[in-house]
Amino acid sequence: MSSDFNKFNDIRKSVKDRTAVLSNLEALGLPEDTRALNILWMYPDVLNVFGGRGDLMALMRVCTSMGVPARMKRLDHLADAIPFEWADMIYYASGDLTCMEDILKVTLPVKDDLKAFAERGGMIAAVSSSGVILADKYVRADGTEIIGTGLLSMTMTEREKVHGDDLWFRTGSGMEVTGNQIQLLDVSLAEGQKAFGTVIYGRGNDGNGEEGARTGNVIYTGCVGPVLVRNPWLAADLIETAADAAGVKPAGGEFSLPDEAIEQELLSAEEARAFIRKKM
Amino acid sequence: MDFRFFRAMITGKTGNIAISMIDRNRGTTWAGRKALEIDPDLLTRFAGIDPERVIFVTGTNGKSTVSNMITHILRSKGYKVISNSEGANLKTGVAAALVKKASLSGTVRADYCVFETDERYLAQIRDQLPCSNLLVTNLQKDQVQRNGDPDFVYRKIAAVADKHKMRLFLNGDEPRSCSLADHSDNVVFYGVSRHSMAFTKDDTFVTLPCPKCHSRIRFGYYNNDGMGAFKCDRCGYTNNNGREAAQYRITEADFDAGTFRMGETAFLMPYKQTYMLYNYAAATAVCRELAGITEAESAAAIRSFKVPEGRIEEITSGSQTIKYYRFKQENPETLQNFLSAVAADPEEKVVIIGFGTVSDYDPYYVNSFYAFDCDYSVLKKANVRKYIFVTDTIAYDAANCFIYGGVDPSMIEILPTSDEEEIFDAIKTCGCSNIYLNVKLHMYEELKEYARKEM
Repeated sequence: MSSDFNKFNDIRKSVKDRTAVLSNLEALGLPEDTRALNILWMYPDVLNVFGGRGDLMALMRVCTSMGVPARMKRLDHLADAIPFEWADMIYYASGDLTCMEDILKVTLPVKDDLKAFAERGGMIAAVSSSGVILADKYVRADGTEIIGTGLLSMTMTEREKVHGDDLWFRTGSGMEVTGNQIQLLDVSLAEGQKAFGTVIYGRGNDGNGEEGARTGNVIYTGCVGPVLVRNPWLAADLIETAADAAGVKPAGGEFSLPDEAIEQELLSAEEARAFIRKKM
Repeated sequence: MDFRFFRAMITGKTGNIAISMIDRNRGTTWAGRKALEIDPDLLTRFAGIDPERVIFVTGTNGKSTVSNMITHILRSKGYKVISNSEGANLKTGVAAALVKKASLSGTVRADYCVFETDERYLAQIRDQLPCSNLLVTNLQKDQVQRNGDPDFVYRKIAAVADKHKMRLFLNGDEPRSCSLADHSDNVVFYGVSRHSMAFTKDDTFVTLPCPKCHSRIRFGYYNNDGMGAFKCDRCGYTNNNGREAAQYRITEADFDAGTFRMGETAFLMPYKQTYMLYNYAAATAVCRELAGITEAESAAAIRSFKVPEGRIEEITSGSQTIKYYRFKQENPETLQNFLSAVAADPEEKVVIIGFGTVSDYDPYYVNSFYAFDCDYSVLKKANVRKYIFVTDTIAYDAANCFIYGGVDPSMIEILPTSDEEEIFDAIKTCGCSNIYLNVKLHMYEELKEYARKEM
């Protein structure tokens, strides 16, 4: 299990700057020109809270365990153009709320490109506060409204107090996910907007039993943990969806995440559920 | 004199006496809490306080150590100092310290007041208690359940600096707190020159957004996690808010010899951890600026300084030495400091990790996401025989963080229990005399009790 992942730690030694690309092709014994799942890590130093780095590590690790060739690139500067033609998955980890307006300033001008990317099957995922990038609007504590890209029909409203707790929910496809919620924003879905999941324990969007939002391949969740580290089955689901849309095939032909690759996470999830059950 | 104030002082002082007769170690905030219940404006009523001789010490890490060190240096020069050195850093703790030391009429007879203040309660305390000096040690990710993101605390401190026009003592090597310089016309910077234990991190790690323009901060090197030479890619914001150098800068740190210099003065380090260099620099700067104490005088005093209990401790049990480093849940820097301490010791060792439940606020919960900011590569050559992960809430998840960091799973043993006796048994039978312990303070105290019984 770890030997696959140690590749991440070995590969990272060669990373020098923003043009860096991590790749698992060598680990999978595939040639460098193999069509791989291209994952774009958005503004890693700006969207830097709640262990979001772990989610990107999990994507690379799970890709390797599934035999899915993958490359990862950082997009470091807000002024940098988003390489839509290169990417198959765009991942926004969580960040300081004060940064969101600046991110939206550079994202709104390319909103149509982002929509087109999603319409052609590109996966866009945003976690926690970064949901405001995909939302219709974000309402700050002082009442100021900031318009988002509207890829998801939801409004996010800054809370007076942070809500921090465990979160346990079931996705629309029946997958159980555990993690944490450090909720700085309540989420209200517009009529017709599907939630990403149903809350088993925790606050979710705003305490009404819904968690996150999903439209096609555009996903928002308030769950951190890092959510993909603690729930590699969710990472596998995102990878399969994105890889399928991109025409990327796993080395073994079938998308499958072996149980032995996630033994630690299965035990961890059971431990988390046992802890949460005591609070229910 | 206001009758309520008099009643509050009587209650607080008699309470203090009663508690100290029962147990001298108890009651660091009781008197303050009771006195504030009687007179909520208590802090505004003390007489004889010169705001120029009062300093509040706030920040994420190092508050207690730095305020204790400042107090220690000032007292070594014969000054009378009032401080909440027992670590009670809310309004009640500050009130308790003043009630205890002021006269019954509320006159404060002290040369200096040094108060550690919780970041979130700083505004409340400063609104009532006059103070012209504020030291911010650093602002890092911490206590997300109440703070959310680090910028939340930044905004609170900046508002206090704006409102009260305070002189700021700032760590010029830590980007977030350093930028508070924009909120004062009177800033003293302290810092540390690159030393032999400085390190770099590659681009698979994250830094932080620029506090001024929200672009990307890059580090040339780190002297300690989150502190070092930095620059914003977009606006050019850099160390000491663009000033050429910190007024108080440590140079030539030699961890083998346990020495460093500030200007012409040679210092001996009673503690050799990299983060302690920033604490030495901060305390020396404050004592020079507030009391005219020279670097040489600070150096002499620092030699006998002891960190507050429960930060860095060593206990002996039979042939085993257990080295405990205080670890704050949700704060990557304290975990990284622990990893660095493990790596700095060349002897073979067993490492015990217990992340545990976050129980500062309701609801209690478990998390480990802060661990993904840490660099575990320092453990590669740390001569660790085995890692044992404990607690019944998050042992598997904590172990997974280390596996993600590159630790070989075959070196990991998981003991999913919070039972101190079981954990102590595991330590006793691990077959190694050098133990590093990274658990919550409560668990450490229980284990210390078991060790004491064994002796």
